[in-house]
Amino acid sequence: MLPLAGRQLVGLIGVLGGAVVWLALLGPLGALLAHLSPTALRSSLSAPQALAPLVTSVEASAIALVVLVGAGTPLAWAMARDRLPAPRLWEGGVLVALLMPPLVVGLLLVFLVGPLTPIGHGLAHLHLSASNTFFALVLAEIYEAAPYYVLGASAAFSSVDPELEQHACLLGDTWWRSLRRITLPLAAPGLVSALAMAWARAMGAFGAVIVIAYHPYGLPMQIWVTLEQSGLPAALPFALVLLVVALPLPLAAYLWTARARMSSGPGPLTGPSPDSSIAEPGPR
Amino acid sequence: MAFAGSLLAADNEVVGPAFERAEGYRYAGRGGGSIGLAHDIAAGEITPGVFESVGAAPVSILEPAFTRWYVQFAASPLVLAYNPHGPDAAVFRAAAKGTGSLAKVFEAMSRPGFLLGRTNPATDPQGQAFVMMVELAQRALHLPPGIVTAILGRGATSGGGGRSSQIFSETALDSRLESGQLDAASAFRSQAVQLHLPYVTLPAPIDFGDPADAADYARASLVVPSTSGPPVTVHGTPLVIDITTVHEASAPAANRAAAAAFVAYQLSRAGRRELAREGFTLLPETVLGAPSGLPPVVRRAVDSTG
Amino acid sequence: MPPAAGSLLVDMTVDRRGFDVRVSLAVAAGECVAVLGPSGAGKSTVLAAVAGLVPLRAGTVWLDGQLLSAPGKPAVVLRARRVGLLAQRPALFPHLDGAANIGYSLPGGGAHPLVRHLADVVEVADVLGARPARMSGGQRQRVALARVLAADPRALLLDEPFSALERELRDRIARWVVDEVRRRQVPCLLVTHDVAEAQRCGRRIAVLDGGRCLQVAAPGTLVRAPASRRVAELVGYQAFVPVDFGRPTGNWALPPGAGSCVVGIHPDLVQALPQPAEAGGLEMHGTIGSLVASGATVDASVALADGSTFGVRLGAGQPVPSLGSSIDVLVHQPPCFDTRGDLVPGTGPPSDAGSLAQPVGMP
Repeated sequence: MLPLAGRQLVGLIGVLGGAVVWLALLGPLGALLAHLSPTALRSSLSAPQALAPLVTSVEASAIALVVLVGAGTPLAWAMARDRLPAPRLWEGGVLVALLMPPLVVGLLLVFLVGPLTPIGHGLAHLHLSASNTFFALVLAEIYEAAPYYVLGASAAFSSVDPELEQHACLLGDTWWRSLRRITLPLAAPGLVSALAMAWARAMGAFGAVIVIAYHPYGLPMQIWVTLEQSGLPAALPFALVLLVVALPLPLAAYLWTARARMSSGPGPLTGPSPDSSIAEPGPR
Repeated sequence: MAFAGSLLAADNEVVGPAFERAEGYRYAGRGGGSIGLAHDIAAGEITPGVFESVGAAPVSILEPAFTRWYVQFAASPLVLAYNPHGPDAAVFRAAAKGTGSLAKVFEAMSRPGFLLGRTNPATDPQGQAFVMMVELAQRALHLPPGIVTAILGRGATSGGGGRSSQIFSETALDSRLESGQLDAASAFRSQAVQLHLPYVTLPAPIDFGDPADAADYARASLVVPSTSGPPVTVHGTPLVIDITTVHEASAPAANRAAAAAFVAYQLSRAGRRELAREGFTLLPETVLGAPSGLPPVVRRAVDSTG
Repeated sequence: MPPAAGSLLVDMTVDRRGFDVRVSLAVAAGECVAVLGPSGAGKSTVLAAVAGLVPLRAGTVWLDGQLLSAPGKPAVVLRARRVGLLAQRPALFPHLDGAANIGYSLPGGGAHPLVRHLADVVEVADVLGARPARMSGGQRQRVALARVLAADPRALLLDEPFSALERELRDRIARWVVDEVRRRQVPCLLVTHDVAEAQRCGRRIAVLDGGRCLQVAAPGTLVRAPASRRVAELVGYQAFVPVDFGRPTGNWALPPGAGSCVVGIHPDLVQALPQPAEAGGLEMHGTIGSLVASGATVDASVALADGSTFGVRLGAGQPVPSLGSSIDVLVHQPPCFDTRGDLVPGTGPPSDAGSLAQPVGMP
């Protein structure tokens, strides 16, 4: 055992080290705020149509999220519950999508859904094109955000003990009813943080977007084009807008999840422990 | 070392390594839109030793704080790269061989549904030149007046940007053409050569590759929107390659020497030969700006080859 | 032959990691059968199979005249089985409070009047508003018990339901559960590893070991006449010594033709001598190994010459010997086991020897 002073010193070093890492992580945000000139902010954001990219990004990300929730949630559930043949293969596939640099995803999407591919022809019949269209933007955002949502949601479902669902069914619930009354409420904090993560990824999607959806400009493309056209100072205001729009949802989700964790307390499934009284619940 | 995106392959794969071998300096290159790079240098965001740009406009952003001179030594003519399996490939192939009419090529491009690709005129000199090239071609080839709009979309020359679905990032444009997802695309001849894409050579008065035709090019113009201020009217200028060293007043002498050595190497016979092999047109070296600021090694290189 | 109305009929083989569980049991409506065995015997597997959580490899599960499970047939889905399972881990829904857990299956949930009634009976009314994380282990068990009963199941499957309860409360709740099973006329399987609890709750006791049912007996018979040496071990026999270690007294004698066998010694069936002479059994001689006070009596351990030890209770009025001193004991009507480990017929208490209960309602 260290003497008290020694332990305090170790504690202090720990706090200082943590603060350094924390500051380093937040450094870029600080730099953004420091370099942002009010005049640039005003002139960039007051230009006509200056906020059109914001609207585009929000709309595209919202649609991407709806698609992800619709298609990704069942996949995440099936992965979490081992309902798929060759489960490792599915997980591996999602991981590959996660590990593939978004720029590469974009380039491969050109091969997959370009206008002269079979899929491209199919889309043309639906009067859609996956090249420089709003649809292409949504598609690119889905590809960039999907692995984050699926893995996050799968982890959220995994955290729900399947025994609870079985007990709900033994108590008379249909599978759907147990999903609604047990699985979803218990997985909700994890699902919401997965969704928030996906939202941030979709809003910030760039690598695949620049390849297949140069137009219409969302915020990341607007930042890029402004950077190319007029340099960094003019691009920073849009970066701030992106942060302001993309961050609150994940932050709120995180805080909510943290509160949910606090209130449900430790291990709701812990087995029976010796009970000497029926009076007061123990101070936990 | 910062250079226009179109010089990326030539500089990073050929000239840079050759320079490292010949002179013993370490080379690190960064490509991007010339205009954006110049803005970044001016704002102090990046600190390269050498800046190589397409057209003189980006260099002027850096004058006089970072440099007072530049050497014009090569040109990068525009070509029309095409998909050899596209529906109009035969028209392009005939024009490329010189057996078919160039006017037919432009007519093919004006067909609805033709998949044309070009870069963003707001950020890329090539994107601007391509729009003006179509303007010049309409006049030079006596094509119907509406063909510019038919090919590029409404407002392409007047600030509206034209058909946005044609506009791709530089990277995406190359890969789309290579993967056969476009029928034709704007390209520098150097790009077409490096990527082994079939291409149609354009006549000098419309290809922006010959300073002798500068007066012709200047007859075309284009309105470019600006994020900071009113739209700017851009007039056609030759797509010449300019090279200069860029330094803040406080830059160490060793960095200045290395930068000058690279410029000198690029302007040497060996450096020029490599660039020519990559599809660039060599021009007589011309020092512009204030020649008194030229580092001695660069001066010697200019004198020995020019 | 269709099984009797309301009864549970289990005749099944279930694959478990490492071995299989093969059990054949009939539980009448209103009857509680205790399933006794060491951990890993397959007790919980039996309950899980009846509940429909694990598939059968062979056999059938019938409940109330309905075929619940059979291999090759889709089992009746969980919700339609209407079987109440109280698992060893209570598995309360962590996001619901006590009342909502109990009333989970009821219209109106926690507000249903039955919730309050059940909570009063199992003495958890004070935690109706609390989430499971804030309950003690025993409170969770009782809330889970109330939750199962609220669903009006056609059979009760209780896995160590009182393990986290303090003794007095355990007796109270156990008595109520047995009464409730009778009142509702549902079959009940109660898993336990505690012989006394099995005897208190079960009208019959099924001894399970290594996936096999070794014996089904009435609570009074099981300890006095275990069907085999293994069952004897499981119900508290402490030593097995060659029969010629003792001297038969009273009316006790080894049946003729019994051959070589050992005597099982249970601490409740040993008395220190001198004893009333009419008691039949085997007299043995050993030394005192240890002495531990137990309430008003003293538990002594007796070591025999062959090294085996067992306990003997020295009641009031008996002299307490010193450690290491020699002692004579009488083993009452001891069951004997042959070299295969089976009970030698005719040993054990003569009056009860024939009363090994047969499973009822077997087809």
